Amino acid sequence: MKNKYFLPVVLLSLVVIAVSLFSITNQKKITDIDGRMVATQPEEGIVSFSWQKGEKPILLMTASEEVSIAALDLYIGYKNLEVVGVSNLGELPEPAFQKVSSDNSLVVLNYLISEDDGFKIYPGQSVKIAELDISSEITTGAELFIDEETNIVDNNTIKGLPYKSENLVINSSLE
Amino acid sequence: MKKTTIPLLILLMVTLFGGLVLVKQNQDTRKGASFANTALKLIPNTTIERRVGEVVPVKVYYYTESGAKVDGVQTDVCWGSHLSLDESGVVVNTANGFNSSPIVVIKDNCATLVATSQQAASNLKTTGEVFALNFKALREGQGPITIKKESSMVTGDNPASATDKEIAVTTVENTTYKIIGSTQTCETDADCPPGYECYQPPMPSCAPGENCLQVMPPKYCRPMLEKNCDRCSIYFDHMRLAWQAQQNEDCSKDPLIDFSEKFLSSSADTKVTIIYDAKCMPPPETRKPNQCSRCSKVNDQQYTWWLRGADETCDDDPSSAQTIYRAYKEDCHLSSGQWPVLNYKVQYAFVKSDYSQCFVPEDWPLQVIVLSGGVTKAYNNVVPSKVDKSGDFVTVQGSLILEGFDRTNNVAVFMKGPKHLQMKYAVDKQANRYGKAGGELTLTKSIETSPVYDFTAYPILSGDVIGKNSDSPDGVVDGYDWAEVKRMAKVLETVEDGGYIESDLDGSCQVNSNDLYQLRKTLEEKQGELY
Repeated sequence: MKNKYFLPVVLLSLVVIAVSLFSITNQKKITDIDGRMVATQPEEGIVSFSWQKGEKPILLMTASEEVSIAALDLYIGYKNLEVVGVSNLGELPEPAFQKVSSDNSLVVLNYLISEDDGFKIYPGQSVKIAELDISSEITTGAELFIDEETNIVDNNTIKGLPYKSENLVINSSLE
Repeated sequence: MKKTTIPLLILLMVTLFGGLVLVKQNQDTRKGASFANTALKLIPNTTIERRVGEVVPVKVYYYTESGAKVDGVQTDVCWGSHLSLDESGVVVNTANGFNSSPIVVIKDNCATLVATSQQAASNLKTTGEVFALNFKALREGQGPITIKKESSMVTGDNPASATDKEIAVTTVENTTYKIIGSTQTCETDADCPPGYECYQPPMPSCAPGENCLQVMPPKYCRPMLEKNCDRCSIYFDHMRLAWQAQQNEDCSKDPLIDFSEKFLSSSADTKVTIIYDAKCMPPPETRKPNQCSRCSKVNDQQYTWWLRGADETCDDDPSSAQTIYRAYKEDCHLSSGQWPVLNYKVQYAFVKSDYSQCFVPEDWPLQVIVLSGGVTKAYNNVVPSKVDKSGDFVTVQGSLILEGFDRTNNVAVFMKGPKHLQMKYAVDKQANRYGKAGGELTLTKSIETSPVYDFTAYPILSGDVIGKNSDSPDGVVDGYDWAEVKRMAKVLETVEDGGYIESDLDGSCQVNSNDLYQLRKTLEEKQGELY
């Protein structure tokens, strides 16, 4: 019995191990039809939006590498709360358009940078974009988020800079 | 037992061997494969205009996907005989982590450029400039500056492998240049060499509130534009072309062949006039077999030519994306009677009567959509027949036969130009946004009796020059349009009278602060309507 099955079992095990190794190797990488490897991770944003908590939340923008921005079309969405005002904190120039649109639950800010070299943000630098004045009446699930309509336009290439953002979930009282 | 064990063993060994071979083969295939993609682009990507003797600056940019940081670029860049480049004109961008001493080999109007980096990944970039190339303009002429994709190579920091560093160059974008006459200043034509004239460039305009100096630019010598070329097209039936050429230019060249088709829509300095001539027939060897031509269905006294697509016939109307050539033809009349007629007057926003030398209705055709009771019909390439420059702003007027549209009551009209937003008109003398569904216009089926609707108090807003994901307008004015117009305004992109630049929003022949001001006002107004 032992002699009868030992060798086949060993060989079968080797085949299983080899095939498993092969498939594990492939699972780590997604290949396109040309055999090229494409992104395995969600693309990381060069620019990040984050929130500075407080009585009036402040939207911050940071960059992982030096960027030069020609324009920022910023759409901040909100739900289960009311935004009553928005202020530019002076780090960016005055926006060409600024409005809290309660019909659309959006805060819209269009920053157009006139300088030839654009608005530069250096790695690690944090820029205050806008401060939101929100109503004290907040219901469960209150949240601020960057709407997908938002564009950050690179001054050199006139292409959109990839960005990532975090939502700000607001409880009944702000820290 | 023994009889079944041995074949089983052989089968398993073959399977194992096969599996190992397959694994090995796959690894070999992937060895050296790219771990990310990149695009190499020459910036600016629009025609760079300089004078003889001036520097023609071009930058090589990389734009890498998947967050891959670039540590090496090798590329071949080639240019025409009008330019020269030496090693001192090549500057590598150390701010993006590259070593300050690139390898530069220049031969036969091509340069092999290599930039490398030994810096840590934290100092490298996914997107940015690698080389600044400072060409010298040697002589008049135009041509492309190109990147050879097949010989370009990019490497980068691959966190998953120390050996697989190659980034595939999937896209290259080239640019073009145009070198014009020398910068010799002058007072009169007598100061210029033979074949040149003393030219006074126009005063740059300045937006209200902008603190820019209003200084008249100096006169300079430019080639005389006094030679008239006049010949039959070698492409189209019954088409004659007339244009002013430089003294040394060969009239036998056909602008349809020797220049891009855009030349005819006056992107170049010289405007080509198209004339209907029944006697003109092109030679069989060059005649375009897929050409179509007829009297315009939308513009009175106009004859049109275009090239149909492979799956189209000449009964199909040309699309707005197709190039249409137009000429005046007296006996081409719109056939009213069967269909309603829209008589309209409208303005393109900010196009001033005194500063609109580059407002040419043929280059600014309208798209008109009519709507009534759920029925819509679109008309492309509508060219207003009358231009009135008696007021502060240019007013255009036209009559459009609404062929295929059988409604005459409660009509709404949507209009847009080539770099404009779509505006809705629903009442006569409309002065702002019409916030209701449908419209209130009434039409008749006669050019004479149908009312002339005046939409001039609510001009067609401009500023849509590029899209978010393409170089074509996308129906909105946003930060991308701002960045594009700003880029052109930075170099004061200019054309001669009658020329066309997409970013020249007011038709002043130059992209400048006026256009930026105008775009800002458009964005402000449109966002105010939407939000």
